[in-house]
Amino acid sequence: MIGNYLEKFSAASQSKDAEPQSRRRFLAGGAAAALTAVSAVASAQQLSKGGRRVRGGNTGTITFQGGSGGAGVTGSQVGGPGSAGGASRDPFAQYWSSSSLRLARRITYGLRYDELDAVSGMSFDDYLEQQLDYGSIDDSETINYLNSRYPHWKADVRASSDAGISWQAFMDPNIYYAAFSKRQLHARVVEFWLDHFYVNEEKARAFRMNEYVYSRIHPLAFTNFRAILGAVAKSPAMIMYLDNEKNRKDKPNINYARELLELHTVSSTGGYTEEDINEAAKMMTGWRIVWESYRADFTQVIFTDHMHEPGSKTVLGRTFEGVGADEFNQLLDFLDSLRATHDFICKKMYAFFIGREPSRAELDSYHAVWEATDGSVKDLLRNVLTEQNIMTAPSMYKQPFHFYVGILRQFNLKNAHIATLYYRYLRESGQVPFGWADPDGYPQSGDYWYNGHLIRLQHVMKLSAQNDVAIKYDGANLFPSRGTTSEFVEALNRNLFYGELPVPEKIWIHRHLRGKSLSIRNVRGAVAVALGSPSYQWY
Amino acid sequence: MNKEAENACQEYQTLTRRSLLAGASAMVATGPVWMPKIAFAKDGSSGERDRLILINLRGGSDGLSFCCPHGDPEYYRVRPHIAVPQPGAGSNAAIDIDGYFGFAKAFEEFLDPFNSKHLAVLHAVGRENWSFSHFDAIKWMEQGDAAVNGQGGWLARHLASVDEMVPDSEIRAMNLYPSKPVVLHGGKKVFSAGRPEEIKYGGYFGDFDTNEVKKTFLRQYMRLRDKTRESVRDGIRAVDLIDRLKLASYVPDEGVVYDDTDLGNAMRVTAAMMKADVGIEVFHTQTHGWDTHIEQGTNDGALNSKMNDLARNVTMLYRDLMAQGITNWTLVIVSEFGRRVVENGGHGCEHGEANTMFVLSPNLKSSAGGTVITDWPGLEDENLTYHKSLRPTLDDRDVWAEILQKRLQNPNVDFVLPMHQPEKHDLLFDAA
Repeated sequence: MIGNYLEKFSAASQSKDAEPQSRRRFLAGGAAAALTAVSAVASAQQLSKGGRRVRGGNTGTITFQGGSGGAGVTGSQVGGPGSAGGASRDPFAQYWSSSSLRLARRITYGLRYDELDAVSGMSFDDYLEQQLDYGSIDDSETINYLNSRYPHWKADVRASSDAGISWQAFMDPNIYYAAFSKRQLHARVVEFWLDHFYVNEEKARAFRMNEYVYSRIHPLAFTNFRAILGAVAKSPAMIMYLDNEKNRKDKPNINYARELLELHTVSSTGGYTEEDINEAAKMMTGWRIVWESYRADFTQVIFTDHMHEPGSKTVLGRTFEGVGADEFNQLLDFLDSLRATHDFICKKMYAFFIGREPSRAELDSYHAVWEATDGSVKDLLRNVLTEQNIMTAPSMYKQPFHFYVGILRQFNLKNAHIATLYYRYLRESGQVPFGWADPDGYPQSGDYWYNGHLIRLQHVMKLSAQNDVAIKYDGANLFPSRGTTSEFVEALNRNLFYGELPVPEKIWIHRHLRGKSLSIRNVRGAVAVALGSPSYQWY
Repeated sequence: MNKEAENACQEYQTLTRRSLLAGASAMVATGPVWMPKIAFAKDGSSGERDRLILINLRGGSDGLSFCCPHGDPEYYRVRPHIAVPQPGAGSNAAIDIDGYFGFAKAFEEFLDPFNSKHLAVLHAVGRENWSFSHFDAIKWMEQGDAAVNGQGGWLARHLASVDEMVPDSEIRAMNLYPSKPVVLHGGKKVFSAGRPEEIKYGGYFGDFDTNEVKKTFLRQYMRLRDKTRESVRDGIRAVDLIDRLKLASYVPDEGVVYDDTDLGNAMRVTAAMMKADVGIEVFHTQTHGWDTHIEQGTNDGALNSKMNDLARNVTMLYRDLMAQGITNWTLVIVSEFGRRVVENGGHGCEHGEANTMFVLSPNLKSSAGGTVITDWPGLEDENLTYHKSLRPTLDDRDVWAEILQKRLQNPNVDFVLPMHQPEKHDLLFDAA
């Protein structure tokens, strides 16, 4: 019985793909041909020295047949479905055959049905470049909404404080932007930096976090590492969170100095000693928050000379003269220049988007790019987000934030209180933005998150049932009400799964609808089954 | 006990009671892929195994405030602003417990189990050359060894190397926190929920066929081969069990009141689930905010109120269980590292090394309960570590080894805690 279904539906999908409008070409010949294609793509890519990556030939959209682990893939996987063992097949790779769509899975929180044609009509490179050039993407709808509903979201610390900005008013735009902005790669990279330069909201307070997230990280996310590092270092939020506020001459507080080295730059394997941390802390003394409310720079971060530890300091073998305010900048310049920093940042970026560790050779090449472009985020992204890497990346399990934001996005749930509502679901799942206790941010690995899977299934049932007025979506475009069961499933496939719904999952939806009419009740059930499908939980 | 409470207790007692299977055959591991398929030794005894309750304090708790060496003048010299005042010195004074050590006032509630010889404080516990990184220290501590990467947590290895306490139980480890800690990674039948009574699966959603959809989910997920499969399969059984337990209507023993804090709720749920006796062998929860770099507030501030929350609610759990004569459990309070001996300029402390480990159990041997167990290294500068921290003189893994063997009936210590040979033995419990 199942065999018949398999034949019937894979035949059906094959014939659909044979249509001239199809953007997918299947490679014949299996693994050997796939490997050839991989090396062709690899040789077609040239690492740039000062601008765009050179494109060799028309890469178009390349498809790969077979499971995970293409040529040259080494290192451990981060929570992929096959990560527990050795050579287990990635269950989704064979279906996710379009490279620009695969890229979309990584650089967005999900594609909406009305974005699908545009994205799959673009080449991998064009789509990536469009998203990198985020300023030219018209995002006025989202920006206008945020400006009108959260008028203080771009306010500085003082104005945020004067406005008495609540944590909700601070939190909501973060969820809303990720869900509705068209600048999706920007939103993803903002998420990356916010996890890397993590600040806990409870300690830093909403009015400082507001400025930190929307006036520092947002505008600088696509510039270069040193700029972001500097903006973070002088932010009231970080100075407060990691206690540099209290780091004074004769009374050092080494918390920020420690995390600056361990979590932000060279990492715990960066070869520093406790002595280095102490010396770095001395360089950072005197950088404090203005508490005196009569001052014009009240709430800002300033340098106060008499609180600064004088004398020269030595960190990781480099000696710095005791020049005062500029020492902190010099320290940041130095850390930014170190290979250990480049490796750490690139490893994290790679793990965030690709889901495994880069090879030594790849790290060498990223270091070269970093040197040539002064740590340009866009250039690093271009070198990490290659077609080869994307097509050989193991599937990653969606963290709760990714999953719920994806739902908001695909179902266009835009009512006024939606961010607040979804904050509650995030809390239940254990991923409230800025709610992780330690400065290392939320863990990526699925091992922390699989246990919440049932909560997701509950949520998709609630959503699909459309019984709760707060989460009503407009199904007219997503799920046409007329037509046969096959047509309906194809609409689900197209609008929620980009036309790449895995065959076994398609079968399960059909099975669920077997013998049933397409009544509202049954349509809702099928939507729930679709959203609960395994491939919807991964990207 | 009033009638209502009595009835509630009855209800919990009539929920499934099953006895331990004492088999003679070796158990073959069917755990995660990283687990070798070997036969595990079985403990020969037929005694009941303790339930383990593990409370993790995230951030590096200050053991020198938890159990302060008030008998050492050096303590007051190095902590002029944040030391716990000597016994008799005002309303925040330390409570002397053995003439040298004392509890901070915030731990007053702990006197109840302590004086009943059911609480032991292990001090100067830690490992040499530890990490001052929260992230690394937690990983090493919870994996059971620095080198063991990607092989899950030691508690997961424990669960995998012993029979289920109750065959075919729905939940073996209840994690009262929404994300799974490293110590339980790789563990089977671990259910994670901050507020388990709030987790629902199914229900009425209007014009919607909930049961049909759930049926499809179950059938589909049982065909998968990844970790979401077991999460769903075990999750469904767990939610079903929790539903039956009616946690929201749990009434504790008379006089027991849990605070409405995260920890208070975790202790309340732990009590309810233990009384229900449904085969949950491990309870885990964690609380945050122990990383007191500045303005510790040991005596009257933030740390004080956190310590209060801890002592009150853990002691409530203790009373709740003891009132019912439930004694087959051991509760341990740990943190990833302690804090530095010398205070910093912000009235706080930096990351340190050795720390306290609190072990609460009705099964402590009488020479251990109600004492501070330590090979005390002293606070003088020359006795501190290189980084001016308390020198560890007892490896935490020695303590776990003893608990594993004597209370959890697991002789496979070298599998659970590889690359470690316990040095100290027989600190806490008589032979099993």
